Amino acid sequence: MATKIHEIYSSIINAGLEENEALENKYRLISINKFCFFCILISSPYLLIFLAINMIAPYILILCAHILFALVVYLNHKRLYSSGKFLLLTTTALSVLFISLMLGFNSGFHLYLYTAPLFVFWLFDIKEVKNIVLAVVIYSIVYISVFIFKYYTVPFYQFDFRIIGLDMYSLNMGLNLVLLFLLFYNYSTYYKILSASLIQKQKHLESEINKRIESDDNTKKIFQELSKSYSSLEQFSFIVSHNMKSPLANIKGFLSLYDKEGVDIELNRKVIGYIENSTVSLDDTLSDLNYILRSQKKILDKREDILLKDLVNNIKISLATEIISSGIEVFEKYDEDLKLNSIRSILHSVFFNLVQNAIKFKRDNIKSTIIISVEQDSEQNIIKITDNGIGIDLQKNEDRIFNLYNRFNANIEGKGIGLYLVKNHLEMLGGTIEVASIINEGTVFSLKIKK
Amino acid sequence: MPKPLILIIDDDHMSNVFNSMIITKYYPQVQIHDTTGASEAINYLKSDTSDKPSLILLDLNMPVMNGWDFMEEYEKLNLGIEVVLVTSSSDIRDLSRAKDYNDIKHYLVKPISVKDLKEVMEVFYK
Repeated sequence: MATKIHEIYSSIINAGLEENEALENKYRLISINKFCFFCILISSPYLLIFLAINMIAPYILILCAHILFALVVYLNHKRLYSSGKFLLLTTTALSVLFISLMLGFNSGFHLYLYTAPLFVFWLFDIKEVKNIVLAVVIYSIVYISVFIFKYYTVPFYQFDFRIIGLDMYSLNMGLNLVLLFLLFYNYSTYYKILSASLIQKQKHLESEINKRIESDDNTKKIFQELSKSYSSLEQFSFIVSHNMKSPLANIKGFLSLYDKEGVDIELNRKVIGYIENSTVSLDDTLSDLNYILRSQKKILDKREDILLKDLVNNIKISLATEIISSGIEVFEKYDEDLKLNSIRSILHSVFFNLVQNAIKFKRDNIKSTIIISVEQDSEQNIIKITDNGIGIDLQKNEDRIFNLYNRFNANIEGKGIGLYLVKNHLEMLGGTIEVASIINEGTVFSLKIKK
Repeated sequence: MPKPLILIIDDDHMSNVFNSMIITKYYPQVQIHDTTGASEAINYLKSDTSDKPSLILLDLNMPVMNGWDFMEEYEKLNLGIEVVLVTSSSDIRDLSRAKDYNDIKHYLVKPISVKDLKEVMEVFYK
């Protein structure tokens, strides 16, 4: 039973409530519904009293007011909010008028009922200027009517302001007006606070939007990285397939030239030789591919503190034959105790390839050198490998210097794998590589590795 | 009348061997000059002493100077020799670039088949 009553109550006060409405408007609507509900509830006993003492006129008036209040809730329920508001305004105004007329003009205490214009501000947003003006007009009419009812005994042309006198009624009326003024003043202050809070809300929203944009930037960054690694993967597979197709195409071609009748023995002998050559080059390409794929697995090796001095010594040992036969000199310009926290096998491969390149592309008629130096900042070690070799034409080749199977010197043997692996390996470590070069002066590779 | 000359440019030596073999097998009257580098080919075309070819077979994917780089240099020479691209099937996707060059009239997919070769040669020697 109690829950049933509560259900009915909440369905009345929530009449016409919409989920996505602004909080302020929600409160306004609930207040209106509540007001109507309690007006009906409070005045219901009077219905019985007036009926009991057989006063029909006020009984009918109160009944009408009940119906009008119920209509307000109904209009809200039908989402006709502004009609509901106006009905409530007029109903309240008229009720005030009739009650004051019924009670007579003796004391004027009931004039406090005239604080009802508070509804004007309670019902409407201050932005609904037209509605507020209309409501004020309705209340003014009520006031003027009350005034006329009190003083209508004197003809208009004989009216003297002294008639008003300083009785209790006019005193109360005056107080009432002061109260109304205070309420209005209060409301305008409230409005100022409201707009201030709106500005705050707006600022909050702005910062929220900025945050979102920032996180959007992060997503973009990740997306760029992904598409970069995708395109490098695509390039890799394209190049590998190209380099496998080439010898395969040759084998296929030579087979078409093979004399199946076996008449031209000389031709067939040649063709078989060529097929053999092509098979070897196909095999080489496959080994390269295998080597690259295997070297990708090095990322699984454990990280450790690596003494750079040790690493470079190992490289020198691995390349001892080349270093001695080329007469190249390796200078090391860094702190002997410098340690890099990294994966040894990957770093070894990076340094090996770069030092080997420096030897391979040295200039013949000068004293060749390689300088390994290290600069440090708060976040990273910058390792520079500088040679005084033949240099690379970066203007032509900048975009593809680190690409697989790209070679920049037709005279010197190479597969075009070394620099591809170097860049690939450094990226696996979260590092980067840059190159600067001048033809016939030398090349500098700068490796940036996070500490 | 001198023998018609074909210039073959491909970094893969085996490809050059095959292309020469198949051409001379079906067109023994044709003379062939092959190079494994595009810049070498440009030098050949520039030199006054060498015979001018009447056809160029060009590979696209080459180190140092690729087929397109060659075309840039070649256009400067203003020779008007017709060029046939000889490419691996995986290069076909960037063939649209060929439209930029007036002298590129055909392309062949490796390995050159007898049928394709005859088609190209008929155009040039009818």
